[in-house]
Amino acid sequence: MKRRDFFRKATVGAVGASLVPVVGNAANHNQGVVDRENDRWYQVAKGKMGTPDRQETIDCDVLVLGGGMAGISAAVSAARNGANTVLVQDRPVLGGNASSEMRVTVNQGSHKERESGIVEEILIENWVYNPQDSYNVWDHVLYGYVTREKNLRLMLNTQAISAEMDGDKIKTAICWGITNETEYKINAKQFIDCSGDGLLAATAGAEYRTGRESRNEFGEDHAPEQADGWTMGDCIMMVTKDMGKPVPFKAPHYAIPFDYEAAFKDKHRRIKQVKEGYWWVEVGDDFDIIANRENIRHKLMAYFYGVWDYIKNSGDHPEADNIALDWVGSIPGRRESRRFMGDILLNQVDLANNKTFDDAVAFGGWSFDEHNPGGIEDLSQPASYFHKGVKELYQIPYGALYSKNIQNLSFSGRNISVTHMALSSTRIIGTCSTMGQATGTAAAMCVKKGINPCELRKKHIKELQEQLLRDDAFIPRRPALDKSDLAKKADAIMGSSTISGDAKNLVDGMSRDRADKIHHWEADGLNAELQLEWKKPVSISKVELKGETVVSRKMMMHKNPEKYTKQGQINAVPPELIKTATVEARIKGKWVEVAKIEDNITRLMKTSFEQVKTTAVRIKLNETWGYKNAKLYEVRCYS
Amino acid sequence: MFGKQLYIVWSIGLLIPIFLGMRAGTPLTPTNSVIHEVEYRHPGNKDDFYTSYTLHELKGDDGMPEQFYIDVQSVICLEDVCQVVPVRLYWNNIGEYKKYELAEDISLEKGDGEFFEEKDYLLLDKILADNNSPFKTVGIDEIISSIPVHGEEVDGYSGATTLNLHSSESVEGAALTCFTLWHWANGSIQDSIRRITGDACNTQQLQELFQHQELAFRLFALEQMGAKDYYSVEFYHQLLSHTTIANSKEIKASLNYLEQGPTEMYFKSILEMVAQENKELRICALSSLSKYKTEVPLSTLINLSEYLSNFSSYREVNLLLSIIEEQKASSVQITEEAIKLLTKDILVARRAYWFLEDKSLTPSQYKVYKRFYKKNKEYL
Ligand SMILES: Cc1cc2nc3c(=O)[nH]c(=O)nc-3n(C[C@H](O)[C@H](O)[C@H](O)COP(=O)(O)OP(=O)(O)OC[C@H]3O[C@@H](n4cnc5c(N)ncnc54)[C@H](O)[C@@H]3O)c2cc1C
Repeated sequence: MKRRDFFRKATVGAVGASLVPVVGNAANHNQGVVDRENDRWYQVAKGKMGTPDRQETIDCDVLVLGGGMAGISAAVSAARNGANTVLVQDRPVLGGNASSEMRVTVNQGSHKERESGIVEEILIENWVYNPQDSYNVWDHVLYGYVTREKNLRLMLNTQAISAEMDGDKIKTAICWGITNETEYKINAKQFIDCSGDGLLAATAGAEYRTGRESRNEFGEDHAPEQADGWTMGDCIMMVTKDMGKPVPFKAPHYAIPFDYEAAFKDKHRRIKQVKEGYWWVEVGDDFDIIANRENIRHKLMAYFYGVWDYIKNSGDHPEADNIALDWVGSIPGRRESRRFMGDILLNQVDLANNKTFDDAVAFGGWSFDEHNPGGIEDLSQPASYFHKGVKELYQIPYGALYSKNIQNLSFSGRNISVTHMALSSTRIIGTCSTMGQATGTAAAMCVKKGINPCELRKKHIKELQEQLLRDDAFIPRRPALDKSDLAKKADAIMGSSTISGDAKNLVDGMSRDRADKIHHWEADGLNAELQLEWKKPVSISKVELKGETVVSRKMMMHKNPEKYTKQGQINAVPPELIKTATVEARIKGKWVEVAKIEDNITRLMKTSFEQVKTTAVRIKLNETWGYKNAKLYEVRCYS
Repeated sequence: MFGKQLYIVWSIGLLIPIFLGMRAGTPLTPTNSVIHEVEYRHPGNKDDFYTSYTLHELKGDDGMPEQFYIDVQSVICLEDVCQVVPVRLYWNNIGEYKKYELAEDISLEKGDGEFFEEKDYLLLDKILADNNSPFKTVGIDEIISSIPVHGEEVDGYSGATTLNLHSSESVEGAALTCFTLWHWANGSIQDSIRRITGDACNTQQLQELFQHQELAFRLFALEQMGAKDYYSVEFYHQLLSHTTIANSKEIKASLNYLEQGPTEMYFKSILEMVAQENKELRICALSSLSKYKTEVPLSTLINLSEYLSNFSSYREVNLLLSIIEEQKASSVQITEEAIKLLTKDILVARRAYWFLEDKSLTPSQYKVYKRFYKKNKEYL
């Protein structure tokens, strides 16, 4: 096929089906993805022929590919840390697997403790704008969260299709605007591929793997004896409604009958509810899951409707008589695609042994939740080989989050440098988001310093960790040691009457309670006061607090509302969180209000004001979202 | 009922291997028992409403409440996951969990169908007696998802790993039983028991109880005296002399009690506490005063200011000076006391300096004030 013909065909496909990737050849790109030479556009208003101008070049510091929860976290962090950032997302909504298109629950990496930082901000915000737990509104909560960030440009319906290189660095991402037929050349200094599939990274030449490592390669005892090509499967979900009276169900012609007798031999495959889909209706691939995706999508629909046909029409499930399908996914959620290789390849042994990494920047805690190779197509095996083994929150090192051979390319989410077995734990959305916050922050730092991730890891890893901790990321066993934090240097720190903890805990660098020690201060009642005092005057322009959101309490949105009560969730701003507070500085013996916190809904409360020279700062914690006491985990002051 | 004798009996009760004591124990003959209907919402129950339960009160020879028990099910809800058996839970008369009993032919079972071993029975008792056990915060969902029968959400299977309780925190394979019984033993039934006992006691008995060697009983006595609005001079003295050796929990409870009582008694108590050696006591007293509902008399503030120079921490000085500022009180004596602070360490002295800024000073006071300024300009 001649080059021109090839592109034309690809374009038609992209416009027609919206989602079919347009694969361009990056090497010789001067003519663009689309050849407009034959375009016959008679412009009636002007009375002449013209050619559509549908090319745009964008320059930015950081380009994030993929607007799943990892990509959102990366883009927002990069922007907040000062980088001019662009986020491209190939579909109309944000959220990736967690969007209304797939509705995967934003799980936390460990049931014991939630992530803080960006993913928590989003979850709280969702309860403010979307108390009705609508998935479509959730998409727009994400949209609002991302688009209000200054320094950040969001490009929806824009697919990154290839990389233009300058040696072992990416220079430009070639992207295709699916709704506006526009070809974008996005030049950036740092690229973060959070697309799960990693098309851009692959075209850049970043090394990657698919398939399952053998047990011997890393000593992973859950891995198969022999390496194979298996990739964890995709799924579609459902949401149902109760019609209040019996409703019939007629299966579509393509439904594949459900062999329930064979399926139910495994205790994991059961119809325990008729509300939100069945994770074991899963189809994977043993060679190239990306190439097989459309086929898999069709199969999933066929298997799913087969299962639903069994539920509705076998007579075994009278509880489903009044239940009707209200929504069924059309885009399968994806668990695994490419895993890109970094300087560290994280494996099961690292996670299970809770290895300590000097470059830890994120964390997880899920078990090795390795689904059955074959999914629903192999009913002879259990649906999940579920392995215990993650006892505590484990660290994720920065070395697993950037490419080992492409200098300015990082990753976050389900495509990072992990073995198949490690991914069976790290793929949880909360965990993916912590990686995103880390790579976004790191990319902004790289831009500021004019370096690449590998050098940042070697020379500035502590600075990166400190920034993450300051921004309310959590790194297990890594307290904050920020030397520029003046609160740590205060000569006295006092809280008004204390009910638990100690005001001194607020500067101990740990912003969560741990099993062996508490790190909070809880005042007896509201209108509580916290005072920091320095012998010699200090210059301060920022006071930052961390409040209480109860990280042990779940916060996610569910498809099945029963889960809220079962899990003791509070679908609102955490009542314990500080709502209003003031910051005062003592200037010439008089208290002067320098900042106000109002209607706060985030655990991290940052205030900034014109620099003052002072010997004391007083924070008045006036109001919470309902809890009777004011409670904090951290206070920081900066010049 | 709270007498020494009974207390010893309980202690012995605890020393006997509970397994034996419970399972083979002679059933209590409720010759002197009363039945109460109490409302409780067990967190394991899906429904969001309170249910009525029968609480049995066992009276002592003196006719006073001595023990309480309730008959419950070992496991709430959950289809066929666990064997459900009746369990009898006991509390003492202030609502502290004491023990559990099973009928003679009944055993507790684990999820996998195995029976509890002796060590499991002992561990369960230990868990129930720990009112700060992890079960306080673990949700029923986590317990349920930790039981290897599941099938709900995609990837929800991983829940099975998530209940990371230490082997000393939960009986392996019986987390749901531990959860269910813990919330019975440590739920609001305890408040109901305290109320019943409190109602049965007169103030004399409560006053005696305040001498109990166990903190829990003293706190109970205080709580109940407050509830009865009982503020006698005699008890006041008893309370005050006790606060000098009390820990912060008890100090706070004492202040709580005093805050609800007559104002003069309250101010008197604050003065007495601030005069004590115990720094914790002084800070608690001053913190309480800073939030007190009515205006503080000038005389009290003047009296308090005499202690300013004796305070051993900046925090106390700051608290008291802030209270005086807040009350807009001014007096020559207070000013004089504040002047004395100008020679103390810089945090204290500077606080006094700012306090004195708008006070009218005598020429000699002004000299000291100015001297401080000259010497410490860089600290201001
Ligand atoms: C059915 C299913 C159930 C699961 N269950 C759970 C669960 O219960 N809880 C949980 O926490 N995790 C669960 N997981 C895992 C979890 O959903 C994923 O690991 C996680 O969503 C990965 O996040 P991500 O941001 O890396 O990628 P994704 O969520 O896949 O997001 C990637 C984004 O990039 C976009 N994109 C892709 N290619 C391009 C491109 N070339 N250009 C521009 N944009 C692109 C995609 O549209 C998408 O929005 C489940 C996964 C599946 C499939």
